[in-house]
Formats: sequence, C-alpha cells, structure tokens
Amino acid sequence: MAPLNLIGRFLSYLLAEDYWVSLMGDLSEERARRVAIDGPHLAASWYRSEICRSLAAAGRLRLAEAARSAPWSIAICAYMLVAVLEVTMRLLLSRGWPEAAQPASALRIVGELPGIALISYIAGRFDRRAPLLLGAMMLLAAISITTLSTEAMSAPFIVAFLTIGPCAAVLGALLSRARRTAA
Amino acid sequence: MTERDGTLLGTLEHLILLAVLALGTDAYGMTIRDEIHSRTGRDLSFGTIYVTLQRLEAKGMVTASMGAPTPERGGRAKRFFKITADGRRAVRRSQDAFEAMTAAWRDARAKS
Repeated sequence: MAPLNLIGRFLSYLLAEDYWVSLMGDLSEERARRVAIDGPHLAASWYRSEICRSLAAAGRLRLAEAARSAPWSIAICAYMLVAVLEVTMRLLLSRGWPEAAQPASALRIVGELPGIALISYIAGRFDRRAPLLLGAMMLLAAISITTLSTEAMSAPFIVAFLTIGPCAAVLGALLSRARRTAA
Repeated sequence: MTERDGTLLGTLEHLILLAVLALGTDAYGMTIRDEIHSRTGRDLSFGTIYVTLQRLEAKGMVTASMGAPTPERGGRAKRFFKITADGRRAVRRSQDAFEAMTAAWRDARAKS
C-alpha cells in the first residue's frame, strides 16, 4: 500500500466512515483547486503535507478526547508507571547503594520524588484531574500498606511513604497547571 | 457536564460554529476551513475540522446532510453542516461570557 494511502487508512480509524469520506473529498477538491493555481507539483506537495497534518491533528484531538473522558484510566496508567519507576530505582540502587535499595528505605522513596512528579506532570497534560487522582491512589495505597503490613517499618520510611508520593503528584499537578496557564 | 449545563465552548468549537453560522447553506469542510483562515489567519488542518465537527454533531450542536458526489472530489460527496438550536445557544453563551469579561477588562483599564 502506498504511504499516502496508508496514512489515509489511519485517518479512517480516527473518524466516522462518512466523515472520513468527506475529508478525503475535501482534500481532493482542494488539491484540484491548487493544481489550477500553483501547478501539479506544489499541489501534490500540499496534499502530502496536509494529509500528514490531518492525521497528526486528528490523532492528537482523539487522544485528548479519550483522556478527558477517562481521567481514571490516565491515573491508573500513571500509577503503573510509578510502579515501573520504583522497580527501576531498586534495580539501579542495588548495584551502587544496596542499603537504599531495600524495600523499606526512606531514601529510595525520596529519590523517586522527581520521577513521580514528572509522571504526574505528564498525566496532567492529558487531564488536569489525573495527577490528583494519582496522588489519592498513592496515599490510599500507602495508608493501606503501612496499616495492614506486619513487617517492621521505620518512622522515616512511614513518613516518606505517606507523603512523598502524594506530594510529588501534587507538584506534578501544579507544574502542569502552570504550563497550561502560561500557554 | 454538557454544554446545556453551562460549560463554555472550546476555541475550536467556537470558531467552527461561527463559521457554520456565517456560511449558511454552504458550510462544509473546505469552506469552513477557508472562512476561518481568511478571517483569523488560522490554518487549521482538515483533520482538526472534521474531528471537531464530528464531536459537535455528537453533542447535537450541528446536523449534517450529504450533497451530491462531484468528479473533482474523486466522486465523493460533500457533507454540509447546519447549526442547531443547542449550537446557537452555546455560541451565544460563549459570546456573552467573552463580552462580559472583555467589559471587565475595559473597566479595569479605564480605572488604572
């Protein structure tokens, strides 16, 4: 399949069938108009760039719509990323600083703050509610683990566990809000 | 919350609804794009316009009808759009909000 046809096919997944047909019709009509004014080469070049631009714009808008309609799914994805971050941090620390890599290490949790804030910031770019949901989920998880676990935990670990995650999520929310306001 | 509950339109939705209103019976993707470009200088892609129009139709702010297929469109039909009463109300609400805030800004400027 030619690249342009492939891009057109991708567009059809982002729009209802009749909308996609009309969009492709509009592109053809505009290209025919440009052939008469600018010549076939410039018209073909415009067509190529416009179909790519349309795919990018439709994809971005669809993604934003999906994110707006499901802040929970974004928060859950962000929470999964936080879990990946935690595993990565433990792996990295176990090589150079084994004490900090322990499951009940407050230092490791403090070290995760920038990463969690970044994840929260990215989630906030999709939906402004997602970082706060992420923070609430982390707080709930931290309360559940600290109260239900039978393992011994140090006071610094409990404090860090209860505060770092939710605070990092709020920091990410504030950063994403500041970015939105500046824009 | 839906637009009926008082939420304001997004910028794209607002621009596109105004273009549909301005174009009357000749509002379809290409003319809407040209109208916005000539009036505001914003060069929206067809993808942006059609995703927004599909959303507006789902919200009941525009209705669509198909025209006849034409050769210059590769045998594809035009999809004409018409604003609904809900769409008009949403535009008016957004316009009123902008005008009220602009008046507030003018008042503040006059005082300073």
